[in-house]
Amino acid sequence: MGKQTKKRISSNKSEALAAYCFLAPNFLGFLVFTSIPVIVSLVMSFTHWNIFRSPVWVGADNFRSLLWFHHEHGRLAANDPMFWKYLGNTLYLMIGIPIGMVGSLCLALMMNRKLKGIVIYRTVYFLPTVCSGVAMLILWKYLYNADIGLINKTLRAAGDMLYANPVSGWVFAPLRGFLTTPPDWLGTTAWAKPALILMGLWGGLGGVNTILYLAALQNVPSSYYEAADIDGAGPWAKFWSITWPMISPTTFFILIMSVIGGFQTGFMTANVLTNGGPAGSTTTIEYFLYQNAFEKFNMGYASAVAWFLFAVILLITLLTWKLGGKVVTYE
Amino acid sequence: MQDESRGARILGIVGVVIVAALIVALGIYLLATANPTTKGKTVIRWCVDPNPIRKEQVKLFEREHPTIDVIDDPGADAQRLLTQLAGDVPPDVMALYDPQSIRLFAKNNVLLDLTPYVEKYRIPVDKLYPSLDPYVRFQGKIVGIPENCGPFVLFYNRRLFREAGLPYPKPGWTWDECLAAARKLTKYKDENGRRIPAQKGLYVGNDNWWFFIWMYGGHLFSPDGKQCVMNSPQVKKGVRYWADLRLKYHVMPTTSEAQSMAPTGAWGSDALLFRSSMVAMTVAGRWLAIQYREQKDLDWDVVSVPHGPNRVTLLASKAYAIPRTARHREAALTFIAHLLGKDNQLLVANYGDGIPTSTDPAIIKAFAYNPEYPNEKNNRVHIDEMKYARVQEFSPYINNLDVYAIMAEELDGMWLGQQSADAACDAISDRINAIIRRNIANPNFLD
Repeated sequence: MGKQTKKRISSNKSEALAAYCFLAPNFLGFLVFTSIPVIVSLVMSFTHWNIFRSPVWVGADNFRSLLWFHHEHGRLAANDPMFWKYLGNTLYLMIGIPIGMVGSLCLALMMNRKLKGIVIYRTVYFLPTVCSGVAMLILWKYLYNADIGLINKTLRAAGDMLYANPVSGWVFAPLRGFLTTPPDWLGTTAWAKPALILMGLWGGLGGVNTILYLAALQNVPSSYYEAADIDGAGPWAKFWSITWPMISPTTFFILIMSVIGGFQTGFMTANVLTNGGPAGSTTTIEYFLYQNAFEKFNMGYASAVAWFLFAVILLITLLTWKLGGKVVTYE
Repeated sequence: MQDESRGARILGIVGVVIVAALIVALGIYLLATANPTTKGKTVIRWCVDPNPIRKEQVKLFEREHPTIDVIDDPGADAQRLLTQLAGDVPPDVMALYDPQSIRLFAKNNVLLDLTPYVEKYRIPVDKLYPSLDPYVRFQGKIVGIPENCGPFVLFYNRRLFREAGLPYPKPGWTWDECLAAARKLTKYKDENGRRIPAQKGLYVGNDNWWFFIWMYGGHLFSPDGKQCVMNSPQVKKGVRYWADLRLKYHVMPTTSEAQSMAPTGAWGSDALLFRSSMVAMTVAGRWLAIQYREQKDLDWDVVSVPHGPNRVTLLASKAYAIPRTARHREAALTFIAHLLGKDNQLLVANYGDGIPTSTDPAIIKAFAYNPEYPNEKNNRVHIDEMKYARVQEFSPYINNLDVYAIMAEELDGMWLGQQSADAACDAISDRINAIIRRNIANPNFLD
């Protein structure tokens, strides 16, 4: 081996060593604060541990209590019926995901123009994303107040105005009940979850998803649109045949991240806004996990919930990946 | 090229050394501050709520015991305490706020058995109210010392009573008398054609179910704790009465109404509503007197909680305990003995944070009238209510938080009109009993 080659190999090894040295602190942190706790939580999910005493191995008892059923009064009953209720709440709240995606795309399409002052619009729409979550929740608690909240006051004022006129009264007759007696948004089980979805849409539209769509739209080559113009394609045809396929990787990414996020949301809302009520209608799996771990000190059971959530998210992500791969267009 | 790679290697090593040095420095800092010391003095750490009176209590103790310094460490929630205990940095004295927490800590051998020290340190446990026993003893051992307590009483707004032409309530009054007064004290106002509450007669919080469970002689649990008996006829009768206060007679605000009436427009609690004279009566413990005193234009007084056939009220307290692993046991015991002393008991009680836990006649006499607050003429009511005061029930076979969560959910259904009071009681019983059965069958699920 020549001297030059030896020098090159030695130099490469030095660079590699330097790289590892730079990576080491971050990797150590990942190991200590992420990997090891995750592995420990997996082991903990097979134990009963209340922090006071050493963990006691219980095998699959936690998972059985969480997911399985038993016979009671001749019927099949869930071992933990509240878990299924809260899982249902979590899935219900994820209805906001497709609505949010459509809204974000529409906003991005509107903001993808060279208009004077467009930067101001982009800033204003992005503001809720950077505001304190707790402050926003307190604000919305006031907005949703049944008697003096701004939303219901506006709805009642609109109702008074519309139903004072016979023509508009007739047109808006189906909404009479809603506008004259608006709902108690956070005080009834029927409206609490829709209220949270609306609040989430207000905070989410114009946020990160819109920014991602905006970037994707700006990466669509204009030559495609020019060619479509030459062929006489209309706006809808251009959107469906060019825009939508070209941004499909971004859509796919947003869908997966939103679904993952959707399963892990709800703690701050329940803790600040609703206390998980009324009647447990806004308690999500995340809040349920927190309650078991840090209020009831049932660490093993909480770990079982966490790993069940992980399994569900992984399954859905893999399914989405498999199916989504068929509809995503890559250039 | 060789110089570049050498430079990169040196930089990498320097980076690692800096990070390692930072970690070591942080570790040294944490170890050094975990157990602070002052030359010639013993320093103990007292984990307790952030009530401003704690600083006065510390000053009083340090004046009388100049060789012991006390660090007031605000924040005594169970999570924080557990983290400290698990990390082997236990406080020397800690506050526990309910009997089940005390039982949980004691059962898991966390608390020091104070029984052998009672005589040596002259801790007057024999002078405590008998009803405080769940805060004091676990399996015959003394594990907690309650420094102050609060039987629930009814706070009422004297001005609103005068304006309504009602006589002030007298101790021993009944729920029917209270309801009659509350109906006259409930007012509405018109806002754009809508009738919204301007004032309500009474506020009993959604989690104050005990008065109505016990009202007709009912209980939540059987004596052995193995069964929830919320579905007994006596309890159902009491809960129906409670539901009627809000849903039939409308003398209590709904949750939404409470938020609308709250001075902040969004956050409503009985304390805020009473302070702003939005409710004429509220049931709470003496600790709210601290807030009510701040409202100079609030003309308030106290009377016993109304009763049904069974005269009973809820008793709340907190107990101070010493972890077995506390570093300064003797100093901690001296501090705990001081907390039950006359000076400290009166300091806390006069501040408004509960009533003395001691039945010492001298302490009771001094508490009954405080010249700093001459309008508070009925302090005696708090003492008299101790005859009827009872600590909340709990079962060793189910976590209290599970009980609270189930009660809150099912009672929410009742308040929303989705189920009757009887159905709510049946559902609560069924759900709690299912968990108790599971826990008895599998003791691994018990704490």
